[in-house]
Amino acid sequence: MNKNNVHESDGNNPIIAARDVHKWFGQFHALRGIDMEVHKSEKIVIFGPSGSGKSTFIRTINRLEEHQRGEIVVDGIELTHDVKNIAAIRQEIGMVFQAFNLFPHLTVLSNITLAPLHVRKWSKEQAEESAMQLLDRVGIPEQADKYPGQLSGGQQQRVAIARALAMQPKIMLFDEPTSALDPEMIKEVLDVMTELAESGMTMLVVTHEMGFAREVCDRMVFFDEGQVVEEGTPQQLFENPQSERTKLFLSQILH
Amino acid sequence: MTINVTGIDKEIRSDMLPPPIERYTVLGWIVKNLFSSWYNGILTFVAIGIVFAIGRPAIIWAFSQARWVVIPFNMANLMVGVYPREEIWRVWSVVYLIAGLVGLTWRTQFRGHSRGVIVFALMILLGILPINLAFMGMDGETIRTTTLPRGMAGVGIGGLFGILVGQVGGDRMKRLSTYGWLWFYPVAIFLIRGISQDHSIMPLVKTSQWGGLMLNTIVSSTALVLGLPIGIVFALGRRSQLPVFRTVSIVFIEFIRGVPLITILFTAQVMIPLFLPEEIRIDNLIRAMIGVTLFAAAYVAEIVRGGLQAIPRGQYEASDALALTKADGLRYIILPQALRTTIPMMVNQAIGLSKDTSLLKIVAMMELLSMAQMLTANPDYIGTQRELLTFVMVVFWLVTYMLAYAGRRLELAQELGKR
Repeated sequence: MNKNNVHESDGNNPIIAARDVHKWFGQFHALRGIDMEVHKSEKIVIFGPSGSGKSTFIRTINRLEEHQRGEIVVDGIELTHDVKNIAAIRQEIGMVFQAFNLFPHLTVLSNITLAPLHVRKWSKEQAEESAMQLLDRVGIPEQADKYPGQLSGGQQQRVAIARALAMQPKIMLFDEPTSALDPEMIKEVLDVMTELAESGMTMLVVTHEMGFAREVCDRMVFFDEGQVVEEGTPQQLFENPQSERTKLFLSQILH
Repeated sequence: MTINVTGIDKEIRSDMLPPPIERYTVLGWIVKNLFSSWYNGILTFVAIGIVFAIGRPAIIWAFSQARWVVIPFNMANLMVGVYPREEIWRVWSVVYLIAGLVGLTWRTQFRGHSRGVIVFALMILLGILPINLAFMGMDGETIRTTTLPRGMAGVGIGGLFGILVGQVGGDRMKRLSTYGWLWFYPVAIFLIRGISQDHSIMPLVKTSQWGGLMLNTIVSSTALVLGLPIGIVFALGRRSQLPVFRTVSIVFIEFIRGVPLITILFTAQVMIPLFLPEEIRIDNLIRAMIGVTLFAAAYVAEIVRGGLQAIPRGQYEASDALALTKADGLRYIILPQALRTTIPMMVNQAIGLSKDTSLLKIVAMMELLSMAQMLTANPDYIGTQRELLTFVMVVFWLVTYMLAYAGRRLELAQELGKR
């Protein structure tokens, strides 16, 4: 663990390094050689048409999908079939899903404390104290004893963010975090994400919220047909996209 | 534009109206449900006529011809078979223990459902009432009329004691009720079986002397208690990535499900001794228990598999993303949700199983139905099949209805469907 910390603190080694990542679903070639480096505290927005492989790519980073060629190294640990490596990497990465995926049979508080209790082996007091701090941070401490089904979509997604943060991850993955939300709830989730970005978290966000991308992220990556078509700062992509496909896609989602 | 505006206006106004009040009167109900039109009226009268025609002989038989006396006279036979009469207090203590645990559980786990306790108590009273009445008409017969009141008092005191402990102990007693049920089974078997042949207080009662409703209950509860974990293992096995584990599970489930329970019982009784060396003799009852347990496990496995399939993939993904191990994910996330959705099916299975125990008759075990049939061979009780069969039916119905009722309470307590 200490060795890894030394690595990352010298600032040159990327916290995530993906080289030539390929993934097939049956005959379908979903990822066709993705190369990407992410440095500590970088905020990256990944966007592209549906089926372009953007979700699949961030899901390979914590092994929800297995890549079949190439290599992925997270914080100095390579993702292989080694279960210990996978577990170690998953402990470094928090993930927020489009459909929240909260545990409906557990209270909000138990949702957040579950992994710290059983993975980090924290005491109950410690886990609950940290969970309450996180609920404070996402703005809904008063909902701690409710069940997910009793909350609005925006509140559920904020609980999901708190749950991911409870493991004190170094990296946060967001897989279309606002796509399942009603318009008036999108802002409350984006506000939490913006605050998180400002705190220095390394973030990979799959989203079509271009306002968020413009204001918060350091780099935008455009995916199409399983490949990185174009990447650059938000300014570069919004004002001077190089590829025709990027231009076309941006013109469609920016109206 | 104007159309839109008025439309919205209307909606808002109707929102502010109070909901309509529905008044029910007895006469209103009768008119609405039985005589809403002329043909419904005719149908109602025809139906009443049919019910009367069928019901009248049954009622006449039940109240003037039936010799119900056979039942209280043989209550002990029907309940415990040929279990030594001087040891029956041990069975009673198990019953009191159950009453105490039920009371404790009700107080601690099902708080706020007081109506349920009353319904439950009423049902027990109703079930015992006909027997009570039968007792009254038996002056001069040699029967211990104290047994039943004493038993009822014991159950009542046990239940009240449990409720009281739960009341005084509060939330801490929740754990006690859980551990109580875990320990109940071995304690009950120990009490019923005894220690050794020549023990002065608790002499051994061989399983061949166990019988009546007690035997049905022991076999079905064993099958349920052991069948659940075994079934869960096979359900997980059937979904396993490991081919060996999966194949074994599929073969087990499909084989046991494909064979009638009677065949399994016969196999357990007749075939197993053939395969084992002569020195090794497994108790008859244990063999039957193994058979029924495996049978239950195969069905439970399929129920659990259904429950597992109802869990969305996102739950597994969230569990993985949080770095929980597969085992922890199953234990804390997947199984609690999966088992909750299977409660109605599990209750269904429990009901089926408790009735299936009457098949033990086929392998010469003296369960409730066999005892009832044996009694009709007694010269004193010739021609009392109807009385005895009616009694057996009522007992089975009571047992299964209580299971169904407890299941519904469990669903409510788990807030199934609310989530």
